[in-house]
Amino acid sequence: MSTPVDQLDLQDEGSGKGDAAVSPEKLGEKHTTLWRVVHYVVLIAIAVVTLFPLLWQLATSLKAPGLDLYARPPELLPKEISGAAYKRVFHVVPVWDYVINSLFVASVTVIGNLVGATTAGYALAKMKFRGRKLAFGVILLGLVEALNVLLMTNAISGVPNEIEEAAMIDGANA
Amino acid sequence: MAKKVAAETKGKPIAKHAWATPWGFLAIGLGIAGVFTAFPFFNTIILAFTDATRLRPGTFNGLENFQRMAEDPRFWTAMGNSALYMVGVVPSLVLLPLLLALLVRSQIAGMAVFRTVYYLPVITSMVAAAVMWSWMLDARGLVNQILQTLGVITAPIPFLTERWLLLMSAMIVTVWKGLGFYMVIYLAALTNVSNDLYEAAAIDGAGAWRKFWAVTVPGVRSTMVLVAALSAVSAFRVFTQIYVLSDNTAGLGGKAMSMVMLIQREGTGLEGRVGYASAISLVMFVLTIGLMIATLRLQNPKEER
Repeated sequence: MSTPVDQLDLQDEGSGKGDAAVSPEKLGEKHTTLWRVVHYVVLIAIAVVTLFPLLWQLATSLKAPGLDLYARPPELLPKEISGAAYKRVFHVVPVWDYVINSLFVASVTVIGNLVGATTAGYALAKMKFRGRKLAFGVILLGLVEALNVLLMTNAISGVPNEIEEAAMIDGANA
Repeated sequence: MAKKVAAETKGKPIAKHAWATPWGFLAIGLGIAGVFTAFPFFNTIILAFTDATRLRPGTFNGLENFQRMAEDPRFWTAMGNSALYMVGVVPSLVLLPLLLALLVRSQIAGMAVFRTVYYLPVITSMVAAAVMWSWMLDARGLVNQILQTLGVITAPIPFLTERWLLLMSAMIVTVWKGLGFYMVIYLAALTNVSNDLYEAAAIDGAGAWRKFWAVTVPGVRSTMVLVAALSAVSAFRVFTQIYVLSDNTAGLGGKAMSMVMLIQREGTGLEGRVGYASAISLVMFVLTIGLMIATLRLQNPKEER
């Protein structure tokens, strides 16, 4: 599930500075000061809802150890900022072991994909042999995520048919 | 000329090689796909028709698992919960991110900051996010405390134990975490909507409301269907949110259990009934595929050429 997120992230960076950001004038809207204020108020309100849980977790992590998570009245900001929780977590939990575990899994995945996908791609692209289609099928079953196919279906359906027709006239095949 | 020759040989196989060579190249890819995808997939289908447990391979028992499923009240509870969860989540995730995308679309000062902020929940881990929300929604948690301090309620609301409230809390976490992801999809789709249409609509005297329904919605309709399909399928398979929020209890008496939670309960542990869990998985697989096809059908309505 992480692949589409990453792809979209890139897409966002691309579109963020480019065509997705349409200047208000182009949208044919007149923007009064009031409109701008309302716009910002709405944006900030949503940002608060989005950020609050994250900030609250950050604040909680900086509270002194032994403080009640469910203190009454609720303590939004730590009375004094303490790194004790961070110090302690390294004693109580083998954090570095866990980091190494994650890094190990990530490395094996990346290297495995690089080597496995490159060699398999080479064989499927450059060699002719019995069972090629079967091999393709088995690999597709595993590697193609339905989600990615859906995303691409949607993206490609945005390509105008005229371009496809022009490509066909130029001698391109499917 | 040379260029043309190169283009013609592109994609053509190399003539000579030993028969085993391609299989050597394919070994890693085929091995991984076979061991981790193809084998488990077909194995699940076979197991669904046996009475296998974790300790016993089991024997073929025909449709017995499916009969038991039909009479198992927990199966129907889980099915209802997953379906309800989907019905609650999908409309929010189809509409709210679209409105959000329209909101962050115009290029006014500080927009990059807002876009980043809205995307932040997407990159957090679901487990961490759900733990965080469970602190806030706990009977002694922040939300209940605030409501009690304001005098809105006298007794704490059981967000994490009562069936419907637990499902609703899980929906809130899902929507909170999904908003940014679908917002980005919509932002990309909105670039395909021609500005001329907005201008034409403005000349015809359309207001913001009219423009939204007459230009934006038709322009991104296929993306709306896509978002509906994606969010429906992932909502139907909900597990982490309910599991973490309820601390693996699925609410009082396990009444808020989702389909995947039921599969996990049935299929794991020493007593795990692997055959039965596989049968439920198979039913879920068929339902999910059906759901996806049904949703995508919406993408090709009659009026299309």
